[in-house]
Amino acid sequence: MKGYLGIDVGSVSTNLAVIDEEGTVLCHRYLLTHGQPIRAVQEALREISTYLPKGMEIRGVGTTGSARQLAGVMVGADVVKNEITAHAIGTTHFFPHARTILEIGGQDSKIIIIRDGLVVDFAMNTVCAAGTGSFLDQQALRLGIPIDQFGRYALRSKSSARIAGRCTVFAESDMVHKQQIGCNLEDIIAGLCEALVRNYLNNVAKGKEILESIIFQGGVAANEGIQSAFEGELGKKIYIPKFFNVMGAIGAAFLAQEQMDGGGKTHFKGFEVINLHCKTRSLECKECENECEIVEFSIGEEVTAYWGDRCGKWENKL
Amino acid sequence: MMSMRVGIPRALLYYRYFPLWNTFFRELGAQVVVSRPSTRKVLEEGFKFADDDVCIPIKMIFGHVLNIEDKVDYLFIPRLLSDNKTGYCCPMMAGLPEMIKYSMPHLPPILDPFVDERYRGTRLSGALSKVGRKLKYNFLQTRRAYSKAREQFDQFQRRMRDGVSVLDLINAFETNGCFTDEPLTEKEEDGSMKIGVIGHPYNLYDTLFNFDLFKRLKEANASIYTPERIHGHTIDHHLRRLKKDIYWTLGREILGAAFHLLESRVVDGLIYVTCFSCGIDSMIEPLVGFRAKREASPYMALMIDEHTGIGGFVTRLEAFLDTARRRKFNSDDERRTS
Repeated sequence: MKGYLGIDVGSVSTNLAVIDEEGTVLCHRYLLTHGQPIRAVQEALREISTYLPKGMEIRGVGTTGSARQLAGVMVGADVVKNEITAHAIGTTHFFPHARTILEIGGQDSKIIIIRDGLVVDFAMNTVCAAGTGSFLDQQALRLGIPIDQFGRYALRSKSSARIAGRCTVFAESDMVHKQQIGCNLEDIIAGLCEALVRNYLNNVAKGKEILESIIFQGGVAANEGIQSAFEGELGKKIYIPKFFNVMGAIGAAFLAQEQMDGGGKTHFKGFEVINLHCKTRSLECKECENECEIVEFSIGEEVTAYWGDRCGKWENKL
Repeated sequence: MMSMRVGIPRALLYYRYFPLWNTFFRELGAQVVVSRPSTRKVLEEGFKFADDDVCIPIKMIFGHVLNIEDKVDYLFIPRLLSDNKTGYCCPMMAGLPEMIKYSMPHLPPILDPFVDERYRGTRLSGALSKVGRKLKYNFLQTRRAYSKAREQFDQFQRRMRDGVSVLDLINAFETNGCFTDEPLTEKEEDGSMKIGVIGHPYNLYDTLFNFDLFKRLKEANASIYTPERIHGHTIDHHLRRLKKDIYWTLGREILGAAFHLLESRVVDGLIYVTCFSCGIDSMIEPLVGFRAKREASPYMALMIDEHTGIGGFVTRLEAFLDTARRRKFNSDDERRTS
């Protein structure tokens, strides 16, 4: 049996998925990155290797997410792609009629506009991470509610409290204020969900035409409160795919399949990378005034890659 | 006698006028000192003196001034109010000499000719004559220097229109001191994609701000179209249909170029490099966006500011090129089958 592996290493979660030649998802994993992408990838690979059918051959590997380069060097990727393309490829496979993808992850949020199965426009949050998963996590912790209960609390609200959504600093002080004047927790949480949705629609999705079918994915899609706030604000049905939190990885697997279509041998180093001692070191190049931050990647004692330089001197060193 | 040293900061209007300014001063016998290419450090030095609220390219010029102030007898920082018959530059550009003079101590004297192309007396030629007079050159000497400078400038503009990369041209000019006829880049490389890149020249061509955008586009096998490639008449033609003329001279060029690239279907995608807190960009960018939507062309605005990280920039650029490429090949396929 043959399959393709997709790896999506984001700021908060590390996701893996394996598809077969027909594009069926055989297995997938969702793990927290905990600030250590190398370990997270190894751990996820270890877990996924136990689920794979016996004698499974990995014919291609794709990586995506903000640590796509690191993951790609580590496992030997055949294709390294940005997360926007990966998400769009994954989603359109399951939803050929999708015309809008709302994606909210740990630290970034995107909107992808699709027409006739092709990406025609997209936007990504810039410097501000207001309304992404990390902020919700932080607020759940502050309120002492497990994050997976957050959405349920919101749905129980009868009348939501008005919370400012422009900025997390204001949102938080608003929430504290509402809690001190006696609003109940459910209403505050529902208000927060609405504020995040407003913020998303006014910033990330500004000027974009949100047409149905609308697919909502990324880690935050697990939150029913946000889903219902989106539906309320847009007046349209929002679909959450079964694989909402690993869609990037699935897309990367499809990209790997596309890449290997013409034949050729995969660069995948095999599941042995689980046991390799991989490490990175960053150093500042002093050769010119740009002072680029170079990342040195080594397996065992051997340096296998450099990146981060603008002139290419380090990258081409090996 | 040691020749007089005139310092030109490598920022803002440098990317538009350097061949002219440089030739003018050299023909007068002065030595031209240009600050080093932009780096993070140059910018950070600029932060110390620049006002908090100004845009990042203005902050950058402060760093460049600092880089050369102790190596020159004069700093050359013209005050450009208008470079065509109808519009204005932004107030930052018009007040630039004062902004620098009163924010930085111990500067050498600043040569700050007032340039306003709307009136006969304040055109560039006249403004530079006044600079010449101030430096004690006679009328004939400055006239001759200006006409040499103009020659080089015309050649600069002609070659940009021919599609030679602006950065290659300026670099070659800096090395040789003049333009030579040797070809710099293949005129019409047959890239797999054609990408339009618009924006203020000082944002597009600054080595720190553009994150090697042009290099990345070339690596992606794209040929590049910038506003400099488009003739003034074409720009005028496209803007004539607007209800009123665009007020800002630099914005006018960007908008006209964008309209041309989009409507004549020259490019497979358009990128606008904007700058946070730029008033002109905030007006022009939406206009470009609306037109791109109408023409159903892939379009992206990339914004630069002090916090711009390379990660987000590269992700956006890659995704944009994927979008443009997939759409292009899809429509090529459709054309072939129909």
